[in-house]
Amino acid sequence: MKPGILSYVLFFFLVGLSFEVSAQKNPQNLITGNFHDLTIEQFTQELESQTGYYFYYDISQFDSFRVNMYVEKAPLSTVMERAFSNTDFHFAIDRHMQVFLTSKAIVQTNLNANLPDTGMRKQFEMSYAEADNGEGHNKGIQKATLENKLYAIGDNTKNNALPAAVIAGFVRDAKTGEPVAGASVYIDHPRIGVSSDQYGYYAISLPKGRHVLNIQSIGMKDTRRQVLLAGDGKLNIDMQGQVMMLKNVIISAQKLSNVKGMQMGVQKIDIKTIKQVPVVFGEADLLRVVLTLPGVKSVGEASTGLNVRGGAADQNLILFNEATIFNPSHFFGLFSAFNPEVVKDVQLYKSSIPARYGGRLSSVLDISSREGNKKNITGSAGIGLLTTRLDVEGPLIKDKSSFILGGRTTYANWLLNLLPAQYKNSKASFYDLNLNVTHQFNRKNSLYLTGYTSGDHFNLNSDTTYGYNNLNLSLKWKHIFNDKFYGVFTSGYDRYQYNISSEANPVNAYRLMFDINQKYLKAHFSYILSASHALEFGLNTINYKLDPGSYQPIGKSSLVTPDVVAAEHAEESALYLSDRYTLSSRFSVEAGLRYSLFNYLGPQSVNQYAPGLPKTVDNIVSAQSYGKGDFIKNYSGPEYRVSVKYEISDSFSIKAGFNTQRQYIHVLSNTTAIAPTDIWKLSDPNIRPQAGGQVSLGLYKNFKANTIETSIEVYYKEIQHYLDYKSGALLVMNHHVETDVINTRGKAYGVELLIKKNSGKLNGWISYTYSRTFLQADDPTAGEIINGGRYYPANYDQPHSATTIVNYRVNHRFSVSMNATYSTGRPITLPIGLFYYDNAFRTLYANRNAYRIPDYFRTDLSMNIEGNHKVHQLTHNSWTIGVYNVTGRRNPYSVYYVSENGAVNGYKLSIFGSAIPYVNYNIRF
Amino acid sequence: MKIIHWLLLLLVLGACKDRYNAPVHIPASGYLVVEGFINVGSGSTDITLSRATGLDSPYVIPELSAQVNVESDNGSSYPLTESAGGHYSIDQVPVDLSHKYRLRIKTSLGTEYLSDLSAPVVTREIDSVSWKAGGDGVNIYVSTHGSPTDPRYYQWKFDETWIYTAAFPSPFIYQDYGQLVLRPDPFEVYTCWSSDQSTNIVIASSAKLTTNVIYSAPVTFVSYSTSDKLINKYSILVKQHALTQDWYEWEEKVQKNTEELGSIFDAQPSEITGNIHNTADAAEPVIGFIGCTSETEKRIFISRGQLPFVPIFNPYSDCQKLDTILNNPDSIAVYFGNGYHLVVDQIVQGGTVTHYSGAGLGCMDCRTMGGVTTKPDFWP
Repeated sequence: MKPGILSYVLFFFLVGLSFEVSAQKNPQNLITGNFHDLTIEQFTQELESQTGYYFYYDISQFDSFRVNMYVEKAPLSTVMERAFSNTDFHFAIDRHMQVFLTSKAIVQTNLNANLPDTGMRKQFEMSYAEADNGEGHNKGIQKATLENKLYAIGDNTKNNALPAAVIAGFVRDAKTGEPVAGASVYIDHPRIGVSSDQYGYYAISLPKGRHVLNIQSIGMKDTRRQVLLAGDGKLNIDMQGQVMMLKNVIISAQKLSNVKGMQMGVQKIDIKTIKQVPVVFGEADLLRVVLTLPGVKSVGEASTGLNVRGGAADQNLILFNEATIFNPSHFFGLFSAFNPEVVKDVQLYKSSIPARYGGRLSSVLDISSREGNKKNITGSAGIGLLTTRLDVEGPLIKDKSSFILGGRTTYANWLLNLLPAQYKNSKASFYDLNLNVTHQFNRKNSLYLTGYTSGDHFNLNSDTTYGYNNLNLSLKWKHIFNDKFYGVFTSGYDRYQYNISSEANPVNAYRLMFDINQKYLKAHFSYILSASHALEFGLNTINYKLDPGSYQPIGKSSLVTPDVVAAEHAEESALYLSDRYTLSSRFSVEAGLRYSLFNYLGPQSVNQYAPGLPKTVDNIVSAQSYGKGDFIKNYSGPEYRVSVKYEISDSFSIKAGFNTQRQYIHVLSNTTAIAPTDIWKLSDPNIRPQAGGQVSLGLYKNFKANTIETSIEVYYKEIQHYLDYKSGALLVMNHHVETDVINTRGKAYGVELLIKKNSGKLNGWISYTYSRTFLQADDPTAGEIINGGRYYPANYDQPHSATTIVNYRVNHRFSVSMNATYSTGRPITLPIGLFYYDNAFRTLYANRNAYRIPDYFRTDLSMNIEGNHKVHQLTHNSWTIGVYNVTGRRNPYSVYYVSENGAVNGYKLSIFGSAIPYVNYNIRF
Repeated sequence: MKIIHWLLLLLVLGACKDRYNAPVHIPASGYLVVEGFINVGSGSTDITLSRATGLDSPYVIPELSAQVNVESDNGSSYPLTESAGGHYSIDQVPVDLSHKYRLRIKTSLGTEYLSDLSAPVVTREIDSVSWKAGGDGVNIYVSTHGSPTDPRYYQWKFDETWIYTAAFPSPFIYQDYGQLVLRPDPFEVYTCWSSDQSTNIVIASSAKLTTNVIYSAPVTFVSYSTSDKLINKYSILVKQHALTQDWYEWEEKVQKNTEELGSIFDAQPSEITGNIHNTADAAEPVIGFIGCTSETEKRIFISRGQLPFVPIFNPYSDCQKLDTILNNPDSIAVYFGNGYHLVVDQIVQGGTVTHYSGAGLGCMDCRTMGGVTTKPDFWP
């Protein structure tokens, strides 16, 4: 009742005030004018100046109201009648030359029935203090919420017979002006819902008439809008953010998205959640958190390579604001290369991959960065054991454009110098730098510029130095054609390079370099055809230039022969179309088709192998040369993306999906972990593209008013032409790398269970996955048959894995988090015996991946301590204190046997073999 | 700062490794292992045959009573004669460098194995063997070169020899019951020469260089803090073999598989198939690579005085405390009679020998540390 009483008091105060103000006005003027698209303010100003009447209204009720008419010498009442015809608005003129403009709806629904049916003085913004929602921190002044207001959308003066209309607009954070991505916008009856995209844009097609539009998003307070839909129109929605970092911890996006969303196998995590999960050295790490999700694994602690549902680490498309990141790790793979202060959220698609994405078999990891604060300059800084970072953001043009700039670097080098003398030669350093600039030209055009670079440089107590860099630039233009149709045009450049050099021996001093460059152009369109059909379509093209290796001498005395593996060129293009077809409020289908085309281009010299024989150097028949731009080999094929959803009840749904993918670029690696020295290879006449398909089925059920989500998903997947290496393969600086790899077939299946509690003091999730992944190399013409042609487990085949993440908020300034992970040990190839050779016992290997390392179990704890929460202080600070691997269990990363002084010794290598405490200090300003 | 050291060590040095043996028993494969090369220079061809064993039973199982022949592609065959322990040898194979050679093995059970025909390669002389102090010891390097047409792949094996002395000379020898007599040469078991052989695969290649030059390829590292090799005078004989490319690649594979594991970015171990096959069953794995090459060698010495440091490892550091034995036959018989102790010196008080000082054989007889008292021929 509070809002009603307050308005009542306000009303009388204002009305009382206005009597004196308006008494001197001069009456009886007729109105003439050509009013075109005037807001209520412009309109009433015009009328006030022409008539001397004074207008009272609540401006928020009229913000979607526009006046279009021509009048000549008309009395005020006629003008008002015409202006309000076919609307819900009313006017009343009293003898004090005051005009009260009202909307009937507000009176009926929200104001106390005893209150007069009149409006408010326009210059005052009507402010409803919200009822205390129990959070206890909203007692200060709130920005007006507009939940009770009825928005008239569309021009019902136009005679439009269509039964449905589209509302579109942006969902924004009321405080910073940043877009809110992934917000659910839905009505309950009938059940229709959409999500806002990464720009905060949404478009929903609804039957005409009156609706309550619900808007929910992570980290935001739920809100709603009352709309009266007469035709297509715009509605921008400002959402109130959560002031306190710890106030309301929501683990996943839309509270209902798992049940209502079309896609299955999609996980979204926002940065707040990421920051809460304890990680080694306290460095908030996006990929580490993704690794706790069901169906996602890695080969060990030293690798941030993701194995999603039995896929290899190179089968994930890692997009950072549309830019492809080829190596997402720092520091030998211990950290991920994303600055947590710049990241907004991360979305992982592991089964229903939308048709707009392609080029990788297993998953899409879509990382979006924040847009800068559009209102004020703010920033944050953090100091941890190994890294320090600084982030600044703010408006360039207030409310129009903003920037965010973030950087991280390590000072491990400085600390390394403190080590005892024999380790002094070790060096390791890394940095990453992000810049995002957003500019909104007008309601229909926005521009987004993203720049990202990261670099790593290390040597491990040896004279060989390793370095690698990512560089990404992208420019995106979003254009809204109309309420039903928008397009996003992106162009960019991605580069990844690494180099290895050694100068210890002047005669052999060398530098080895590898790089991959891609230029891309993407056009994506979204079109709402009708209430039941939402289309997405577009066109992508990527131009690759890959330098597979360059081996060069360093220094005058080096005798190294310069050697360059010829650059590779290719063009990968795709066209796609998908339709989300809502058959009924409960049953919907999303069907997509993506057609991809890959052209391997000259100049190149391609080896021809004798048909039917293994690809070995001896079987090279000839080498065919191609000129610049020649089409050497074309591969193309359709990719199908289908998902079906049936809602059994409001909180229970069943979904099924079928997906196929194609991949034209491959990582060649014979190491277990992704090494910074792995090379990428394009498909060519001798290396076929990988192809994969997946069928999946899921059940989603929410309990306790959607605060507890549960899901179970099963999948079966097949992979063709995945590249495994031959025994003793040489992959770097190999001019005929096809002779060292073999085509394998893969299959994977599994079941994933997830229980999540999203809100409350105690929240978190528990996941369990049973999954298997097998590869098979049984083609005798491939040159090598592995394990006798039987299926063998892939390196990342870990049948059982379970993760628990629990956060407990003790109070607003103190919370604790725990993370516990268990998984079956990964497969390894153990020696099958010993032989004595060269005065030493040596190990003999066979049966690839026939055994397993011991199981993995780890528990981490962390505490977040916030400084005081006074809003208007210069800086806010917080501490994160935690322990990684509390039990100190020496989880093996690998088990290996090595000949030392003639004898064979077995070892178990643990990356973090003890409890590792950490402390991080963060400051926001 | 201590904690930070420790954290960084964990992080930077590959954290911690523990001894571990997988709790699995894999039955021994019993695959045939063939080691050696067909010597196309002046010298004997020595082939050793053994069988692969289980991971948990590191014992050499020699392959006995086999018939081993070197064969030429022109049909001639040269039998090797067997000596103990599965060794087979022939003093000199009359090699014609324009022919190819292979090894034929017929086991006592009648299974026949044949290596691929291999073209002889000639090994050039070693240019130099050098050393440089670094870390806690000495790095040994080898340099060589060949003509552009010579093979660009090299392997080195080495024999180390070093001289050392026991803690004390032993001037007396125990004779009959309770009797000590002067030893003719008090230094008889004082000075020893110990030797060691390479246990690692040492290879290098000039294939990526413009000229066929190997400059300072590392051969081995000799520690002064964990071995006594440098305590007095040290010698290393480096033996060089030129290899063909496939041979080199095989050795490299064995090296990677058996010596270079344990980092974060390990290449996964692979199967190793050499160039020897069962004539009846090509799929049977046989371990080994038989090629034809010759051997050249070079020896250097490093004496204590040349080192920029003082070797600190002394195996006799526990020998300073001596036992004192009364000079009477019973005490002497009890202490020295069992053969486990030797006399260090007489203890004379007032003109008579009242006691003998003695120490364990380990401190007194250098042979207990594995050396021999015979001076090698090459020792200056």
